[in-house]
Amino acid sequence: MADFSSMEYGYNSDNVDTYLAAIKDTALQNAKSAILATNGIKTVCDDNWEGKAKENFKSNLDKDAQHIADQLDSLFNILNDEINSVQAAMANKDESLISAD
Amino acid sequence: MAISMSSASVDDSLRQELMGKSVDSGFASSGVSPNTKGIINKELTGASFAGISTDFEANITKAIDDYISDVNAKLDELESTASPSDAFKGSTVEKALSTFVESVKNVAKAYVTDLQNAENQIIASVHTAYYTQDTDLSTNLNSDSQSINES
Repeated sequence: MADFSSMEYGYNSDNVDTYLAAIKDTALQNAKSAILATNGIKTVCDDNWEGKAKENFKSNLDKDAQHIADQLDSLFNILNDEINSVQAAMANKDESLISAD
Repeated sequence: MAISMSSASVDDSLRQELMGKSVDSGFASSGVSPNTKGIINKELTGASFAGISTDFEANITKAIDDYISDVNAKLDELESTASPSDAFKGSTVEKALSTFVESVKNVAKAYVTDLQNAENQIIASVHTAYYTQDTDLSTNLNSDSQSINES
């Protein structure tokens, strides 16, 4: 079997799956965790601010952070679809390149 | 000559004047209108303790900026986590995929920047609101002080 790493052109489905999993489970997850980690800001709020307005700000901050985290999910879905589209196009081309008699 | 009672009398006109004066509900009856009259008899709402520190804006803005830096650092790891060239071969398509991934990252960072700007705007506005309140209330109080003094 040919070694994919030495190919000039082509795709490898297993590697595509591994690539997308790495993006989703590592890069995306780490970024989302960082976005949702608002405790540092809330602690500084507690040290410098008192009142109902502070509590509402903290609550809204968490909602805002979740909104941004949701956008990262949407962006990953776009990336996922694009990568899979490239793979599908290459697979279809491979299938139709030579017809069997 | 018969003795008759002297017509001497005591002048207590100032006492009479005093007893005729009264403070109406804490304000001189000459007509001081407290600027906060509309809310005086209302039940106190809100927290029993509210305020901001001297370094409120600087400290919270820094906390927000540090948080954003952490998020951006994680987003920058997107390209180093894995490369499309692990899954696809072809110099042009590899470059195009890398560009696409970078574009996705840049959109994510734009959202994060929007979050930073939104939160910092609120904090700056809170600081301004407290400053404005301080000025407004002191204007009201000074006006009432003058009215009381003139009553």
